[in-house]
Amino acid sequence: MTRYAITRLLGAIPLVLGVATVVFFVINLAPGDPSLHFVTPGMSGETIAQVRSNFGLDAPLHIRYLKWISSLATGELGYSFSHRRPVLSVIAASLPNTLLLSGLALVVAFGGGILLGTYQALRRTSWTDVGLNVALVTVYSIPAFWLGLMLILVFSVMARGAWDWPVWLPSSGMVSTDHEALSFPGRIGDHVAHLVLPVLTLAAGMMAAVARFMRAGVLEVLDQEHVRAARAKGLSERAVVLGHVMRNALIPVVTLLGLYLPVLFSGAVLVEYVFAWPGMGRVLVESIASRDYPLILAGSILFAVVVVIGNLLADLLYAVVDPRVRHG
Amino acid sequence: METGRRVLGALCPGVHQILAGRWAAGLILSGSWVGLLAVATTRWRTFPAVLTGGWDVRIAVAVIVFGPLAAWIWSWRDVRGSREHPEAGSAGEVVGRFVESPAAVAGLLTIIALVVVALITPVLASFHPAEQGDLLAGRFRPPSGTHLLGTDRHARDLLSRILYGGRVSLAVAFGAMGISVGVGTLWGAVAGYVGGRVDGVLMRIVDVFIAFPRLVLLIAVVAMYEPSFVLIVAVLGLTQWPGVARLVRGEVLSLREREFVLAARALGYSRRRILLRHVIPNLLAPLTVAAALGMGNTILLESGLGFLGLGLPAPVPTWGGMVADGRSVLFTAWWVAAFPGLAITVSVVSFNLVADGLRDALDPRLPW
Repeated sequence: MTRYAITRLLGAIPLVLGVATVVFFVINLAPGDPSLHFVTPGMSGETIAQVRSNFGLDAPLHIRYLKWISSLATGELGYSFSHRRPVLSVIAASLPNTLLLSGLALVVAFGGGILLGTYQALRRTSWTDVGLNVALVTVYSIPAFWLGLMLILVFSVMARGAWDWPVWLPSSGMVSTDHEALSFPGRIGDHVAHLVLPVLTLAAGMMAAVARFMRAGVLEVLDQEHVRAARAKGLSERAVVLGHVMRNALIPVVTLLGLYLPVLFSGAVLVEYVFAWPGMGRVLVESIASRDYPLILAGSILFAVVVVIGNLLADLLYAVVDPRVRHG
Repeated sequence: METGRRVLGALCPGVHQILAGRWAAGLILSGSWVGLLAVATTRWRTFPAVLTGGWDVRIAVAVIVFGPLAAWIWSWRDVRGSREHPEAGSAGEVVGRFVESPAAVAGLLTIIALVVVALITPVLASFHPAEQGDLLAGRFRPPSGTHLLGTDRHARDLLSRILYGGRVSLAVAFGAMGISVGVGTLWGAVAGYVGGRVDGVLMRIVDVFIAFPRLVLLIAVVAMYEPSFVLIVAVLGLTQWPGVARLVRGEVLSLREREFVLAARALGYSRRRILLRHVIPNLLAPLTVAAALGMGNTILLESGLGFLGLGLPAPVPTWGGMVADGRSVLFTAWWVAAFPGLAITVSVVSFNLVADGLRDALDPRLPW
């Protein structure tokens, strides 16, 4: 299995390079230039030319491409124009925040989705089932950025101002401004409070999707012989559902874990923007706005790598949960 | 009794169909009849604009005038004609299964309503989307009689802006869908039918495009180049097609082994003809589902771009851009962000419901 994983990862290198190449040409062929960031009014034409050549922006496109690809091969990601520090350190500062956000969202989405889907399937064709179906499609269709705003409206704006609830949730950032002054448990609580709304926003759509897959899976397994056998030998309904139905229904759902990883990362872009969360998605949006070429390229490569890892994870998980599948 | 119902049905479209238990057709007919007539009676004063206004007004008035007429003629023919029992596996049977699901029918009705409203917006909207009211007293007014959904920071009527924004969103989504379904179908059909090395190369390219972080690419392209209607439609369409291509290739791989393709080949038809006349028409069913899902997705992405400030530029109202406008005034004027987002949700939900219903209707074996 390790060998299989390594072969797959090596095979994905051209794919990632392909993505990077397309992004390279898309941004380099666009009008405008990142050197504008370093140009101040009153600079002479000579100085501007100097700035451009310092960043290697005066070379022809194909030379720049070859240079970039060869430096990429040595693991050199370059220097961020807008942050004025190495790209690697920018990513190192923001990626963990995105991982925290998406990791928690993944747990919430799959935990909630699996429970909801099973519940729904066990009450199939009832009004609960039909109602939940429509509710889930609705949740799946809500734009995440709007859901985020509406959650802020209810749980931080209205709860604090108009309705005067005892508890309200912070609407932006990772910590409060007085974070440093809090006691240790207070700081933990502060972190958790800041996580609630972004995680819920990011998880909602995915939870609905997982629930639908789980419902379909459970319905399929419920009709199978071994479930009837388990019932026939007198197992309690609880044991049947937990040990025989859910276990088998989980097989297709688990592979979704890998496939949804890139979806989560893309979703994080908008959610981080809404909640001012200092993560990779926000860095990427800002880097595009400021034409920070090295950072855009590194970010896109990172996103492509997440897709590759997600796909690989899906295949590997499939082999783990379903003993019939073997990767030689 | 029967005769009475028929007479009633001939006079009021939809009544006969509803009485016969055909909810979908009945609601479409009576809905367009009642709705469009209501618009016509309240807004007939704007009709003379047909002579002076642009094509959008002419189309709007044409829809209002001919819509009820068409509904009436359809209903009239429906009442007179006899209905045959649909053949197994036929389109009629699929329609029959589709209309059994109330959620799917509700979705379809909403989509039809959205499209009709988009068409008649120039007549329906009380204000021009860029028309500013009283800038001293009229800004951020809560929902009221004159401004049903309130006003925004420039004292513009939110309802009118949402109506006009819907035209933009639907046009972008339909355009992008056309591109992605067109390109994806051809690409996937060629890859699947020709097979071999061609298949390998074509599908490798699809793999690269699927591995693309779509939102990131969209943001990059739109931010780097000047955002325009054509650019946004093109980028949305061109990032959607790989999924369609993959789906089509899978279908074609199974279709090409079927007897009717063998028969066509035995008749000596060219590959091109077999592909265009025999294989692609059989893809209609899965493509419709993919298109409906894609429409919802595209509306979401387009509004996401608008929210990030990367949608169509300022005077054009877009749903995403309107939500972004309301973000900073969430506390004082919640309606500015809330209603456009609700519009996005309603349209995406209806496309997804229709996609679900179609999937169930086309393949009853699938559990969902």
